[in-house]
Amino acid sequence: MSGILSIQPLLAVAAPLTAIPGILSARTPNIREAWSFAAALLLMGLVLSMAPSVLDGKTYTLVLAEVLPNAPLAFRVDGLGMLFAIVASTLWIITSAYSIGYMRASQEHAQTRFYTYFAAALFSTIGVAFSANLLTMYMFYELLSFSTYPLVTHHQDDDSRKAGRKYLGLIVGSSIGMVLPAMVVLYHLTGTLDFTAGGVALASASPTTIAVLFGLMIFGFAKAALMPMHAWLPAAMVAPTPVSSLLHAVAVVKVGAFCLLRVVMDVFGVETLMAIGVNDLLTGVAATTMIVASLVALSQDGLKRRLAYSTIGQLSYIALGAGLMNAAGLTGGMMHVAMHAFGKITLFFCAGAIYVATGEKYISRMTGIGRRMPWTMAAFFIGSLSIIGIPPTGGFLSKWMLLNGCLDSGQWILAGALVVSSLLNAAYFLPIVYRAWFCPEGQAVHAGPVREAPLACVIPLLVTAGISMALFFWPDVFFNLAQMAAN
Amino acid sequence: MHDVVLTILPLLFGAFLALVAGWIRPKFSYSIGVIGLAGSVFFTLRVLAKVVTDGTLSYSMGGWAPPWGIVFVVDALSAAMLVLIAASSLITYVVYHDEIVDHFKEKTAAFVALILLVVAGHMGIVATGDLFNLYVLIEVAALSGYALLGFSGDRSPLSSLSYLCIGSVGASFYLLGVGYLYIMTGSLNLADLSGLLEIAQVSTSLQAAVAVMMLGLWVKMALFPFHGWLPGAYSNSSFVSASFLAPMTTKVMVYVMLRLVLSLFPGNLLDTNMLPEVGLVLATAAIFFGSIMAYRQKDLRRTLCYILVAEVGYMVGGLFIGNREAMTGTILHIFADALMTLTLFVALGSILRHRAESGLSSMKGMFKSMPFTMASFVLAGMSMIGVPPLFGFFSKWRLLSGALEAGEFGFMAGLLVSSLVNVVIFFRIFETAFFESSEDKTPTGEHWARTAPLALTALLLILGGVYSGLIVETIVANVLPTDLI
Amino acid sequence: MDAFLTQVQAHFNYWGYVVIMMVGLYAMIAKRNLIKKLIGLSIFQTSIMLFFVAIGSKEGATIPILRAASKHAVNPADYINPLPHVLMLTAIVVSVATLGVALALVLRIHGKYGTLEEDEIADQIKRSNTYA
Repeated sequence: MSGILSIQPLLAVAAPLTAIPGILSARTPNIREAWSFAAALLLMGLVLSMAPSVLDGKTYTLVLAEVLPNAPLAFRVDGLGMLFAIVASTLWIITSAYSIGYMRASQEHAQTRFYTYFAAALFSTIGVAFSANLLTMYMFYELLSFSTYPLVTHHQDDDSRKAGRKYLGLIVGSSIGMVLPAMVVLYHLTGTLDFTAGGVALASASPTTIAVLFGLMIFGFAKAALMPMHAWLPAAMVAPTPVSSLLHAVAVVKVGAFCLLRVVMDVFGVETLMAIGVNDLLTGVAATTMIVASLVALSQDGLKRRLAYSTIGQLSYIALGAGLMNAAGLTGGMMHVAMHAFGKITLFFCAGAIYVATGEKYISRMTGIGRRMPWTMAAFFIGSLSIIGIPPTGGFLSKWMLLNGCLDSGQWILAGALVVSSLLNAAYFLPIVYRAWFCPEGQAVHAGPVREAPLACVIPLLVTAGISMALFFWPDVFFNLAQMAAN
Repeated sequence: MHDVVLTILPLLFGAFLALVAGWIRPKFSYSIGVIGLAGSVFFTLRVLAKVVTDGTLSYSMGGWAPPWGIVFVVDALSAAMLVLIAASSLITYVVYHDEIVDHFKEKTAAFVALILLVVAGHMGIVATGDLFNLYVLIEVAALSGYALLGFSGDRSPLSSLSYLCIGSVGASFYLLGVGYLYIMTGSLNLADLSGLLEIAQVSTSLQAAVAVMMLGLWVKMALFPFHGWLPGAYSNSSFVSASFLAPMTTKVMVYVMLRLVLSLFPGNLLDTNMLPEVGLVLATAAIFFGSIMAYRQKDLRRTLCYILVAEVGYMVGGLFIGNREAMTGTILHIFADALMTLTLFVALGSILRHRAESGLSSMKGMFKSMPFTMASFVLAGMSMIGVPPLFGFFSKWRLLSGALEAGEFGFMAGLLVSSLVNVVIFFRIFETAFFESSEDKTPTGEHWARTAPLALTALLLILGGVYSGLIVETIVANVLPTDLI
Repeated sequence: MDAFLTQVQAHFNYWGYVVIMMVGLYAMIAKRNLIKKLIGLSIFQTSIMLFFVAIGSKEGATIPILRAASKHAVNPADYINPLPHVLMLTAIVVSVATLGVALALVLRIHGKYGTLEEDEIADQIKRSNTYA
């Protein structure tokens, strides 16, 4: 692929940071949020400006600093990176709108700090998307961990403190303890950390070494939440909902999945991994995580916790796609990055809207709420459909490709796991919708006139629900990018 | 022409003038200190610029030519060290203006003179090319240091006295080693000796000389198990003294050891000696010990002291692993650690000056009260942990890489474990500063004169990391012998 | 045994300084009184100086002072090496300065604790810590 040397990747990555001086110096909340919006639009513009060339098959490159021989801090925008960046930047705009409604309605404290670190987190996310090598990706991964800590622990109470410890301890501990040594060994063996299509030349390493390194990386990037490195996700639900939605439906968890995809495709390479047989390890872990997470989700009464376990399960779909290591599987996994993002963020937005409007956090107390918040629950229904994988939502397309990928490789058990997991998804989502709409009059906890959450909350969730459906009919952008990256 | 010696002259004159001012007009002594340090910074920068363009500078004292005269030799690394010492002292001096002027009252002039002497001593250590002159300058720096550390605080004279005893023993061992080398070769000049030792036979006396010299330097740089003086000396003394000495002393001693190993000792010597193995074992032990002890401390100052002990282990280990990558890591880490230690000590000093005691509870609510100071503290902490793109990450990477190449997995494990322990230590502090609000209502304002220098050092940590490749190419690569793999 | 004794006798200056060094170290470590520790330090440093001075001496050589009358070439073997002596002058100055600083610190310690015995000082510190 021909590389265009351009400063655009740097501009795109730096775009979220431009909001920070504005946010810190803003005198009124409106100006502050305007800065956040402006930066989000700027980011979207910069990302989309590079999209046409990337869709054509070109890449953008830029070297920032030659810090290590053959391992500079550098950017490279290719198909996978563009896919992720489009998802992240679109959803930042929508989440900014949502945050305004949510934070003001629930009168959260320290909103300036919130918006500042939000911008920093997006900066790190786009940095991961556009990284050219493992070193740069590791750097932005760490920066993301640290910039999201104040967001997760925003409420500054005891629960947040404990959650923050789990969050940081697991994520930073695994990245320093597992990814860093694996990177050093990899650098030592190959002399480079660059992402090369088809994998870096690992001829000199023994299969055991490669397998160990691979294992260290897939578990070390704990943001991908493969069990047992998943415990941080439910704990992080103490954060305010805009955080949970953008970060833990989109940015942080997808960064983990993204790193996983990069490791499989561009660090080790599909052929090398399949030759050793570690793809079975990955698919096994993914399938187990899928089923276990869905089962645990069934038992959760807290809506956000249920959504968190659902996210863990959905992330392992992407891991499964990566582990299948064939065209359909990889394409399906990458598309799921986008489809799941839009679907899950809808669900989280709904959870937040419900909390703002009624103060409810527990599913058992959400009976009859559909009559009170019809738009919200309609969006919730569409989001659930996307997660379960039922047409006409985008989630159906990615799951269909994953299923094809399983069948292509003759992996009947994995196909079965996919189906079982979808059934479980239905089992833990559809009853919520059913009880919200169809419970008997007397048993409704919430009845009465329509009193939705503020418009600033409702419109975004309708938009994302709409996009989830639209992606079924027009998946081209994501589909093309994913397919390009998979080949 | 006299550039090299001009770096030290403002300090020496300043020390003298400060004492005179102390008798005549005490108010001037602080300003004299600023002028002396600023002049020194200016001249060191000039020397660095000259060395980078023209090559190594050398200056013979009194015009006596080597090897009989004392010569000062400054190459790229020495020049960078000189800038580091001068600049870090100036930064600390400016930040602690209030303490120096108001806190010490009538002793300000003496304090200023001692600071200038300590800086001059350390700079001389870096620049000198004569072994005995090195001993004298080590003692000059050390004596000023002992006096500085004994300056205030109730337990400081005792800790300083024990530092004095241990430090003098260390310096004497070094002197003994110099004596052995003199017996064998008749020369005291570094360049001359390296030539003579290369052709000399590796005899028991040479091995003994090396061992004894190393022992002396290890005591001076607080390598485990000779570190006993450090926690006491730096945590019981006044914050100002500790902030001056902590970024300088141990790093300069590591630099001396590096020079001796690279330039003085012939290659085949270290092959037959047990020294590298012993050094590496002690370094690994230092890392584990320092990290664990840092974790167990309740007092924040002692925590930083033990982290310092662990960092010395990083540098010594990198040196004794012996390959190019690890030694590059050591040299980078000298600079990174000096900057990190400076930022941490000065930030902590700024924070704790409003608090009665230095336990963890003093940090409550600090993110709200002193955001800029805490921001620099956080950056320095993250550099200690090893988060890219900060300086600490890249020196740690090189050390890890070098250790892997040499197959030293124990050292690698030590580096990773200490990073993880540092995460816990620093996040404990960040948590308290973030989550809890302080009951202590003493006002904790932030003055720009205290936060701007900290912002500068934090910025240098970022720049140093991003430009670490450049630093390695221009400065480090020329110091290491070309045949070192 | 004989061989060992001849060895010792041949290098008695070296053995001498080692013994004195050990005496100094012992005093520094084992003695409880701060002044005695400082005396030990002085002894320790003096042993190094003795070592250096001993290096310079040569058998049958005289003091290194040239008389104005001697115009012929000088044979170095006739004169002991003056350099170590010169170096040790510096070292003595350093040692005296060290002692001065140390005694100043001891004076401060005495002013604060009223005693120079290490164990009594430790007791006082422990008691003040338990009250703090």
